[in-house]
Amino acid sequence: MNNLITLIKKELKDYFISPIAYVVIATFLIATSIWFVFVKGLFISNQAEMRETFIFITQILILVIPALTMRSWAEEKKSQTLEIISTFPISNFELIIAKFLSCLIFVTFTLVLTFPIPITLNILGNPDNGIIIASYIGLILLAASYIAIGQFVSMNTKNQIVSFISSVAIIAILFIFGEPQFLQLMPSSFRVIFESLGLGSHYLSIAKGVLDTRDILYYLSLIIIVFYFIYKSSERIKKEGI
Amino acid sequence: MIGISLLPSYVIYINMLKFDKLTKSYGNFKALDDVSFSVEKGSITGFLGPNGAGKTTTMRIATGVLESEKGKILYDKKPLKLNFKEIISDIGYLPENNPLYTNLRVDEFLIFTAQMKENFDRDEIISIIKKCGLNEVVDKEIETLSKGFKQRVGLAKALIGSPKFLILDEPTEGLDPNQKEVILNLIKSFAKDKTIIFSSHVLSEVTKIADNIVIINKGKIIAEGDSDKLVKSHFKTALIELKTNAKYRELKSELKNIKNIIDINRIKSAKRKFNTYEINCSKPEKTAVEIFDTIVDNEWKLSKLNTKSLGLEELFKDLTKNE
Repeated sequence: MNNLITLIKKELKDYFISPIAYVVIATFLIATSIWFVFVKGLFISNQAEMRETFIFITQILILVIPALTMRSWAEEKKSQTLEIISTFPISNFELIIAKFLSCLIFVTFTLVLTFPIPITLNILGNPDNGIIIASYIGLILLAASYIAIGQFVSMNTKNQIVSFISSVAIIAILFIFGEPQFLQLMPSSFRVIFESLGLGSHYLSIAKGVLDTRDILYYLSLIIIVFYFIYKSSERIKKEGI
Repeated sequence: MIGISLLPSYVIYINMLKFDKLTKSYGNFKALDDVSFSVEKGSITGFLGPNGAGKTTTMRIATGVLESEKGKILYDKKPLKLNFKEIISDIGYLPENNPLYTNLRVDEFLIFTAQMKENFDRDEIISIIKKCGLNEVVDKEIETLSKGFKQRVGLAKALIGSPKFLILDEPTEGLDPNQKEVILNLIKSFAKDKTIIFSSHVLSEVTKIADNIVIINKGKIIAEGDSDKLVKSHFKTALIELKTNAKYRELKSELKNIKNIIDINRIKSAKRKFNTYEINCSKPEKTAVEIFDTIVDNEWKLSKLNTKSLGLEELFKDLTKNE
């Protein structure tokens, strides 16, 4: 357990000393702020709510999270340092958990940095803070799913660019599945299936302020399934070589 | 005295490493084929083989980085696969190419290693830094270090947690002769209380520090044991190098009565000058005296007559040639 914490700390340190992470955080915060203030936020809708901003965040995270996860396994494989961590008294599963949690903590930290937005809303108006809190919880669940997918892709390549592009593509496809524009193109019998598979549609449900167990279970199931594939990939690497 | 008499019988197995029938393929390529050998406690074993022979694959399987299709690795009679967490803490590993977290400082990296091994002891880290000669670079980022210092950092990392076993994959690869000397001396100094296996394709390094050698070629173990004994048992004959003005036919005719001579080969011929011959024979000392007598009897001029000792290099070449 102690070495799990040590590894999480090291991974977090790697994020915080990486210039890419700062570029990602800065880009994310600037884009979110611009969206909130000028595009579809406060001054446009003239309402004390963050719904449009949260929807924008779910979409920008499709780019932000693969930019963070692209290096997590791919870099270890490329620089052969996976050989170092593989020979520590830590199981494959613990390694996967450590990489996942460190990225989730970093992303949560980035999301927390958007706190001036709800504070501004509370100063200027009277927003429904329950919905805002539920939306943040939904964002963390959604981000956790993105991270799991990003890490699975990173585990299966040595090239960070390939990892980034593939992760964006997979996450975007899963996101689009639940979008109304996409569902309209589908035969009615398939709509329910695609809607239930869509990463974004479950978030929209949580963002209404209702923490439905079906939505939470969806994200948890997705994460567990992707974890299983990450674990299988790590076993394959042990069989085939780094 | 009483304590010694009460030592349990299993003590004799402590620090023993056994490779048991390892088989590993990469696609259609068989990297290891039924590889079995043992490394005795407290010994340094040199793991020799040409490039691509299967050394790194064996090392990786020995440390759990890679899984074999068949066979097992036993540390003190315990299989690595079933006791991974327990056993891996007792292994110090220096992988091929010495991968390191180069964004960390030397001290940060060693502390991280100790914490990951759940064996953090500040005094031990300080002692290892001193032993590996890292004092002057301890606060520097690994990225900025020379290859020699990076190799020392890799060795220091392997020593963290006082492991009973050291597995070193090409520890001197890419170093200059002085750096090699330092690293080899360091490895030798660790041998007092550790079981060490190190791979190399540089024979002089192996003969310098190894107690035993294991030679692998094309995924198969082709020799194992004490290097001198291996050379003696492999080469039943010896070579005598002779430089004389005697002509090849005359020499061959005069030496044919010496019963220990198996073969005479002309290596170099020069008109009006000395020819060089290589004579394959048994009992080289006795044969050399008889050759000398023949040369004197025939009034030939002699420039050189010496027995050529066959060593590990010749053994290695002989075992791995044309394969």
